[in-house]
Amino acid sequence: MNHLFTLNPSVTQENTAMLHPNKRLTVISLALLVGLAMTPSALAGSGMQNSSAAKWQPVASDKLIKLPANIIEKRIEQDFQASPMAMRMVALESEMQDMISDIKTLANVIPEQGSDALLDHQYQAIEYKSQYLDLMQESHQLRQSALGQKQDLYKNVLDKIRHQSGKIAGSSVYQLKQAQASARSRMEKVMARVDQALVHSGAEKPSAYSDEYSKNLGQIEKLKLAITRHKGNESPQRDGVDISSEEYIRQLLMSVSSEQSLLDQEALMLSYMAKLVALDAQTLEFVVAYGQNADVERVNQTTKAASVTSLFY
Amino acid sequence: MNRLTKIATVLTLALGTSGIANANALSSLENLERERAALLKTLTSNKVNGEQRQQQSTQISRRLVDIERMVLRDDRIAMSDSVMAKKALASFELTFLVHARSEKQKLTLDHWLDELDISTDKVLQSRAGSR
Repeated sequence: MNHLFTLNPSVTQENTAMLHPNKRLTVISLALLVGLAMTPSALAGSGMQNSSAAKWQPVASDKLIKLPANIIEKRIEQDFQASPMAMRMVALESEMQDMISDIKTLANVIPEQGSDALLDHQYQAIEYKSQYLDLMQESHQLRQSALGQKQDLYKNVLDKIRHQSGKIAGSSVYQLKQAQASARSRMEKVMARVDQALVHSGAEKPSAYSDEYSKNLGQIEKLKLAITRHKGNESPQRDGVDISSEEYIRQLLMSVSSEQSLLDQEALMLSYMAKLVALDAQTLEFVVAYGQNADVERVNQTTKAASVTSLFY
Repeated sequence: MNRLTKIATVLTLALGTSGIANANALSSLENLERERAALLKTLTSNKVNGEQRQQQSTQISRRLVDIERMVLRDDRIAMSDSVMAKKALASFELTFLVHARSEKQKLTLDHWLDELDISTDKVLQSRAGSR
């Protein structure tokens, strides 16, 4: 376990109460400084006990990719909301709100200047802020992990959709489809001429296949139209425009990336907030150790030799 | 809700397996190959007279028209990713003889020999011998 902003709980909750205030502050400022030394990427990599238990492990199953793209997004979101990771994030949010109200309440009470109560008050504020940052860091780590999982999942879904529709350019199925489409287009251009040649060669009526095929074609077109118009087959939309499933998933991937970039920015804010708390703790530690006055008290009363010379004559 | 899910799943599965029910995805391509071989054999055979050749080749060509269209409309052939499908689609001129010769406005045998680069001059210049 790697706590960045607070100490080992056993130390903070029980043992720190037994420590001299000066020692407690030293421990807090050290812990915060260790946390500050870590980069945002290290923040993401560090595991906290609660976070490791709060997991979400989605899988891009075949069943999932058969759903329409907008339903895929809803299904993934629904699965995430039911996961221990999302539940932990909700719990953390509530704890953070409580902590903020505690910090605000404390900020409204200002004890008399120079009193021990003021030092205790300042110490309490630092401790609350430190705990708040701890919660915030865990929440940040969970959000980063969830976004990473979503990104992997969307990538898998996209790969599977592209593979299924044979759209991966360069794949042999794709090449074959292209070749068949090109041959079909050539065939359609000469169909009338071929039919005419058949009539000239003595075929008075079209073959059973040809006859049945053209009859079925009309019905197939009607069915295809009904499928296209069916509500259950509506294309996903973005900004009111119909888009393909592939494009929809690509846009979801882009939005995950932008959320990740904003989270990186939040990590930077988090480290700056931690630095401020560490500086507060360090300042308070010096005040407790050396007092408010920054001047060094010197021992001025030394015995001058000139003042005692009379004793010797 | 569960019942609806079940119906949707069963229908989706049925759609997915409808292609499998037709067994061999390449059967139409195999039929095409058989008919094409029969047509070329009839056109090049010296065991039939001109009238018989004309009659038989017309019959086979009529069948080939349908089979060539079936093959080109069958999506399962491209999805099969087989060597046979690749070779067949690599050369429209030789595989889809009836449509290709109409496109070029040639007789079937002339079209086939041209595609194989076999001309009267080349045949006359050729010599029998061991390789």
